[in-house]
Amino acid sequence: MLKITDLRANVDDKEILKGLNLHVPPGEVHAIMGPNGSGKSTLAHILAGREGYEVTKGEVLLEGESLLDLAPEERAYRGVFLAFQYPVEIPGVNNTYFLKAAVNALRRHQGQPELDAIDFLGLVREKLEILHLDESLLKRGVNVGFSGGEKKRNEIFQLALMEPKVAILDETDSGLDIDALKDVAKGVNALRGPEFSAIVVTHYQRLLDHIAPDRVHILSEGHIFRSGGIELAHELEAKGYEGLVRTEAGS
Amino acid sequence: MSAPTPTDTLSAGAKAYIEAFAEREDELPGRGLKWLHDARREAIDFFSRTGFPTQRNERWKYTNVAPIEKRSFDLNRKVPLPSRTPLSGDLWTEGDRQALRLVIDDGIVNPALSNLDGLPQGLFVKGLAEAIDVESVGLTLAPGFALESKLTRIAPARNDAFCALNTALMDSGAVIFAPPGTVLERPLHLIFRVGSGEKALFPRILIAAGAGARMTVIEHFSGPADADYLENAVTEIDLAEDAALRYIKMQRSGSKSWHLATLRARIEARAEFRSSVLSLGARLCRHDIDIELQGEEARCSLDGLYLADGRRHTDFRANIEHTFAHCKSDVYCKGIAAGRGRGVFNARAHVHPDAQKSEAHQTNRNLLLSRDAEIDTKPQLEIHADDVKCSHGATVGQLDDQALFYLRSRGIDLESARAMLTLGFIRDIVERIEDPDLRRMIGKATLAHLPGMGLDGELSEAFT
Ligand SMILES: Nc1ncnc2c1ncn2[C@@H]1O[C@H](COP(=O)(O)OP(=O)(O)OP(=O)(O)O)[C@@H](O)[C@H]1O
Ligand SMILES: [Mg+2]
Repeated sequence: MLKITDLRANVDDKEILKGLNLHVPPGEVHAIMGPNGSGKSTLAHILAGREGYEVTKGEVLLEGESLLDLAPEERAYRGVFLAFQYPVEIPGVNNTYFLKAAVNALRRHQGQPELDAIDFLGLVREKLEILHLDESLLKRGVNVGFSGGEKKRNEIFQLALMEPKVAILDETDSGLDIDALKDVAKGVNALRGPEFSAIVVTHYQRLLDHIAPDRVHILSEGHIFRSGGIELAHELEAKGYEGLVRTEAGS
Repeated sequence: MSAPTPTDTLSAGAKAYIEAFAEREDELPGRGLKWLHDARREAIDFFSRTGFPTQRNERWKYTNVAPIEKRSFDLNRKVPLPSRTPLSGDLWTEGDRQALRLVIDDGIVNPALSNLDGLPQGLFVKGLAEAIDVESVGLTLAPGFALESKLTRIAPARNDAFCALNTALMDSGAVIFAPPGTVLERPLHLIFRVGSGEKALFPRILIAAGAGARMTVIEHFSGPADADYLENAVTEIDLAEDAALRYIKMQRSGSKSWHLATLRARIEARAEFRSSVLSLGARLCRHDIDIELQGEEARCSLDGLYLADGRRHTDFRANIEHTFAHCKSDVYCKGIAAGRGRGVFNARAHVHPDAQKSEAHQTNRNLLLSRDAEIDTKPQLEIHADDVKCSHGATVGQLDDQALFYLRSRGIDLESARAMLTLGFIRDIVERIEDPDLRRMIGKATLAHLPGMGLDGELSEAFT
């Protein structure tokens, strides 16, 4: 589904990604763990098409087609979704209005008829329930005045509405209470199937207990430094990054 | 009576106005009212001395009116009535046939399109010429209402050259008086429309509210997109104790027109003036606002939205005099500059020594959408009392890149994302309009002017 080969990228002439390789086959969920500042969000942003990153080498293919030259909205039409580590507050833009515009933009580009207000409301209510989100959040500005947890739930709520092919969750679990964590996991698990892949960026094994990943990768200093199964997350939990690096050096 | 001799230093453009006054002096409304005729003559004398303001004049520092001076608008407008073709302009209140409205086409009240049925007892709304006419024959418009004590008194001609020209040449507009205690539940729309031609119009509006009276008045200006015309309007507002006026100005004049508006308000104790001035059209627009808080606990709030896209120039100037204690003023303006447009904000609150416990706030936020656009902002406080709560702030920013990326990552294309954020920027100005029907009308009309609004149907539902 998603294939990243030898990806190198700079921010302000500083190399952040230094030859990153990652392959997420269809239907699989991969976790990426890694120390602060190792480049996880950078990778997530580059996948979603954010400006300000200079890709100097490598390629990113979604179902065999290159993503890197596409505008963010075009990536969304092809099924890329990023749940932001820091969802952006947009005062004055009504959440319902934004969600309806987004859902219908996707539908238009995917050759489906647009939803009218009633169908849209039906869809929204169904997803709100899964995420235990209060309907009153819809009337507010996008993310404006949302608590940290509400912002994260709102990201997964959007994920549920947009049903992408590849979801990238950037530390969606950070700052969540146990119930919210379960709701987030439920939102992701609901989409799991042969047509859906995900990259879950996290610092904690806790989320992975609820979303069982097919693979776990450790990103360090701009590249994938180790990959394995869930046991890698356990090892990390026990040893920390320092410990892992030492183990690696020793073996 | 002979007209004053124009000073030799005046430009030909300025002299044309003085000559037009000399020619029309005897036919302008109120020729028989000495006080009014005197006011007109004083006004033209003042203008003869000053001419048009230049940018050396501090009040006009950022706005150049030389192009207006150079134009030769039709100042006589001697078009015989029957040859006037009916205007097909924007009736603004189209959606609401019951709406209270006074329609003024090319400076003449259009009774067929106006609707003043069901005004509360004693409240009157008259065309300016008609109101003056009533006084001219020695009748009074209403008990307790003296036109002479208000018209040209609240906004004296020496205020400014444009105010002076309006005073000398005013021949259209409206006089509104709400007797003490009257409440007008429905908004009253004053709809100014303009036909083709390069004419100059001088509308004058007087709104007077007796003690405890309440009303909502909307001034709506629109005109043909291709007509090069001048609107030089003056609004005088007089609020007696405990009165409340919700005032909205929609400037949607033709995009080649010149719109200069003076607004002066006297606000007595505990009275409240809530104003929203939206400047969306015209090639050059100036709002020149002076508020006098003349009694304890008088309050005013001046909301503003100005749009300077294309080559549009828009200038918002406000001055608030806090003369008494416990008064409150609040200026809240937002501006958008795009293309090669230029927006100017210049507001000052002046707190006098006796005006203790005053509250004066000024906020000006601007969105700069292009490299060639320009914003000049100058909020000012001049405080001579010590026990006051005052604040002021101004910002100039661009569309938030992070927000743009967030929207685009959800499939919203760049153009729509920009439109959404632009709309988000101005939203609260519209949402501060309390009446839901008015809010919808104004929201929708405003969106139609904003840059990049494709109005795909979705956005037009943005205000509910
Ligand atoms: N816009 C930027 N300008 C300068 N440096 C940047 C920018 N964006 C990222 N960086 C740098 O790139 C490095 C990687 O940052 P990134 O946000 O990708 O880390 P991360 O792995 O997501 O960390 P965390 O776990 O703290 O979220 C950091 O050193 C960061 O300071
Ligand atoms: Mg990060």
